[in-house]
Amino acid sequence: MAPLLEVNDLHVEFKSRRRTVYAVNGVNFSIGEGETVGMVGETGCGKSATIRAIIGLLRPPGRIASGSIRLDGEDLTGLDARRLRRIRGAGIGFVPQNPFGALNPVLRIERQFRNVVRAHRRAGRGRIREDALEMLNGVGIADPERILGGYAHELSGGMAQRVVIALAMVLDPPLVVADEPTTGLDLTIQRQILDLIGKMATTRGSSMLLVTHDIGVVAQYCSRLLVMYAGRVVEAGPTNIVLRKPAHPYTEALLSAVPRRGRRLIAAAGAVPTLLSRPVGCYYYDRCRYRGDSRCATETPDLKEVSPGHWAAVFYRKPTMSAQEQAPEKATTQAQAQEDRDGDDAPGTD
Amino acid sequence: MPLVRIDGVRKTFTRRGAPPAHAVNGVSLSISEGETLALIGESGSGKSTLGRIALGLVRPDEGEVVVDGLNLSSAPRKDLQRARRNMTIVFQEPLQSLSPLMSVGQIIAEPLVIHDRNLAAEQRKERVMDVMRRVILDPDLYDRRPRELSGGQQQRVGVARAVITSPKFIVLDEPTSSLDLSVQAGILELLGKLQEDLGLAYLFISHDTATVDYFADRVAVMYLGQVMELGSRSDVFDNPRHPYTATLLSSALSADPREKPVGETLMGDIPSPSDLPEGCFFYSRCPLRSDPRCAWENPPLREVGAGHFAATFCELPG
Amino acid sequence: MLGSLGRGALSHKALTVGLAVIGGILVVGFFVPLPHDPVQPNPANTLAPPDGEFWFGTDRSGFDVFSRVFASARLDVPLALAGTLLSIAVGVPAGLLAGTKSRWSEAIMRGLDMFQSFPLLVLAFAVVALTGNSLRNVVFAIALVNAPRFVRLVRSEALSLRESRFIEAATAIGASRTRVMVRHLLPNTLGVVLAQASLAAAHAIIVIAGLSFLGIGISPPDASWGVMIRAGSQNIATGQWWVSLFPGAMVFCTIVAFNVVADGVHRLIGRVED
Repeated sequence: MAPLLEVNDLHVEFKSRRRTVYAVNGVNFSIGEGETVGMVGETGCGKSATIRAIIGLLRPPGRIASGSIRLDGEDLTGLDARRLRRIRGAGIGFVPQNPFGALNPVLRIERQFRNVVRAHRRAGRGRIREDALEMLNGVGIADPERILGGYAHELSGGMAQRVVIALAMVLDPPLVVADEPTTGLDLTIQRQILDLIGKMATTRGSSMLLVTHDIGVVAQYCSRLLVMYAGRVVEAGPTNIVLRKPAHPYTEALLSAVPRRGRRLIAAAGAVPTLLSRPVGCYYYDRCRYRGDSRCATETPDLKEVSPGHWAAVFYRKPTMSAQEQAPEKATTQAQAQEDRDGDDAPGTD
Repeated sequence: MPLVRIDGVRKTFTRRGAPPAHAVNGVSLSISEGETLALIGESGSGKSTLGRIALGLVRPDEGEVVVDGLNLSSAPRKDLQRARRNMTIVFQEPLQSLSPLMSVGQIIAEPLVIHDRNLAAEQRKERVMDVMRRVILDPDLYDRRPRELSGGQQQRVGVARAVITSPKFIVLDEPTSSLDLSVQAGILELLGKLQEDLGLAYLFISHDTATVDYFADRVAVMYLGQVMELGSRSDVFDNPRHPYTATLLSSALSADPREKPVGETLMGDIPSPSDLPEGCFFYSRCPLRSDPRCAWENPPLREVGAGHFAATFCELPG
Repeated sequence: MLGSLGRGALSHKALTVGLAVIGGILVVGFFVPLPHDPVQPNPANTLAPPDGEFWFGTDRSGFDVFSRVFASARLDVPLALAGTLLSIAVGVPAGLLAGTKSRWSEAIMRGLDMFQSFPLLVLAFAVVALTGNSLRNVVFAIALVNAPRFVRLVRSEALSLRESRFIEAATAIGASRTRVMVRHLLPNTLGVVLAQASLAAAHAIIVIAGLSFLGIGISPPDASWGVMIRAGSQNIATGQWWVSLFPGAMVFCTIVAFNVVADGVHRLIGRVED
């Protein structure tokens, strides 16, 4: 069966007269039906550009330079504005980071439900109201009638995010894209919201792309995980495998930066490439502690399957891991790695 | 004799057109030399206000703060200004906390300009260069503006400015929460090293349990401007006695997929600081409420173990 | 990020054009030899229409309009700038003081309210008329009209800057109130002050033209755009449009140029979004 969403060799550029930023450089991934996939990465890794491309909200100077985005077999990259609007909402629901930016401050919440539904199909007021009440109930709002009659500014951050989730899912889109849906919310509220999103997705059978910088969110709520770096997916696979046995040195570095009692944090050396030109060789070369021979410097590794369902864009595996797929240059790699580690006591400037 | 003593502090903010917000409602804490006390809490818990009160940047309505022998609540302004070489703050938003038109060198040097007036310009520059090396900032950045730096570099400038006068006490107000994970690691490591080298005492304000668990010696859990639980890191994190602490900890998501969240999800919103509950502040969200006093009486902070305090009638078993 | 760079380039262009126009007018007025003596009447050639010799024609005293239009810039523009500088010198410190939480603040603002309840332009005219027709008094008049704007502008900037983190940071490292004001608040208000200064200069051009039109401040045979417009006003009805039109056009160009500069500065400091 074909996956619900299939992103193929996606390139996104931000091109102005002065310069071009190559934000996304050949991203490949797919999301199956009913699956919840997490996308993690730090500032500038291209995750926002990728999801903006998927939901068709990439604004100039940003544009899709090449590649395809297929939702249920239909390529979204070539669609005209009208068709794209139909997809947005009905085909893909979107939950942004800031719920207050997504809610219209001067319209009652009920009116906003009506607007969303009527943009896609004819429906009577009563019917929409019923749907809205059911959705709000579903996102754990105790008195949905009161919320429907009120305005966005009367809501707390957590409540507003629930309303936005209800709005995103009221048309039953097969795919929901959530962009940092709980960043800025308190811990106890974050857990409420994530539980809710998970529950809604399960009961309605939606697939979910959850974009976040928080590894804890992915670890607890996603079955599969994509790690992005410099506009590429560098590692993908089942969450419990990727987070416990990372195959890409970047994933490893990211995990070793998660604070934990009694463990020495390892700060990553170097900085993310600026992407004003496409890097030559492996995009992680400059910061890699395991980099091998000249191949790493000249060739960009593609994702390859390191174990069933687990993909990583590396030529050489971390020396301490399984011996399989070790290159003949193993000895030098190890020596280099050791050296890097020794010289790493002082963290580099960011 | 602790370095910092906060005693019975209360603060209510009043603004025209808004109901008064009771930000801090009777807090007493102390911090010893070289120690890290973490304030952990959600929004509206008053932790940032308390941090500012601890430095005399906000004057409490009630109670007093003594830092290194100086009573901040009654000291004349000149004395307070002079005492600031001994105590300072690092902010959450590194860029916004740096004067936009000044160069990195000028920003870091400013405390010296204020407190060591007869220092010659060359000596001052030398001290700045020393500190820049210490916080691992490229000396080439000396003449840059804050805007041109990365988030991590900006925060290093903020840290450099804070430590250049060799203070004894620094309030860290969510110093890493706007930074990427790998950058955060570098800043935490730096702060830890500076504490070791200079014997700094930290008041570390955070909403992130994992960072606090990594960084703190002692932890105070705040909720609606009150300390709910106070104790050593292992007391609070491994053996929480207040139901709020327990639910807060269970809300934190582990990066290890094998460590599933335990316990119930905490329902409901945090009450508004303008409309404080009558009984226990946690009553509206508490899963226990097992004591008849909960709804009517605000439980005082009681010692539940050596140096371990909790403000609850529904103490969890130790 | 990318957008702001594009905007930066654009705003530089506007700034450059505005400054070039003002600079050009001044250069021609001061350094380029004019075709005729601007203060030498020529009774043989009164009210001549524009032609090859008198490019903008002559007025009823036989002054060459082209030469006088540029000679006027020698007086009008420097006077406008001097008046603006004086209003900054008075208005900015007063505004900073008014932006503090002190009794000064209240006093300044109440005083300003009272002062501004008079029509300022009329007040300025009256002041010059009563204190004597000197250029120095023209400068005072301009400052009188413009200084209140600087006070209010700097005060509101200072009040909003006071909420920012870097001001709190300055207090936290022990900076005195004076230091916070001079080292942190003042430099960060200069951007808007500069933009307001261009607008004030434009306004000053109008005040000077108004004053000299009424025969206050600058009087013939000294060249000023207001004097020229007044001189030609009687001739418009009889068809000699050139006498008033060209100085009027110069006033217009100068004001537009100053406004363009103000706009450019606003863009440069990021206060205007496209």
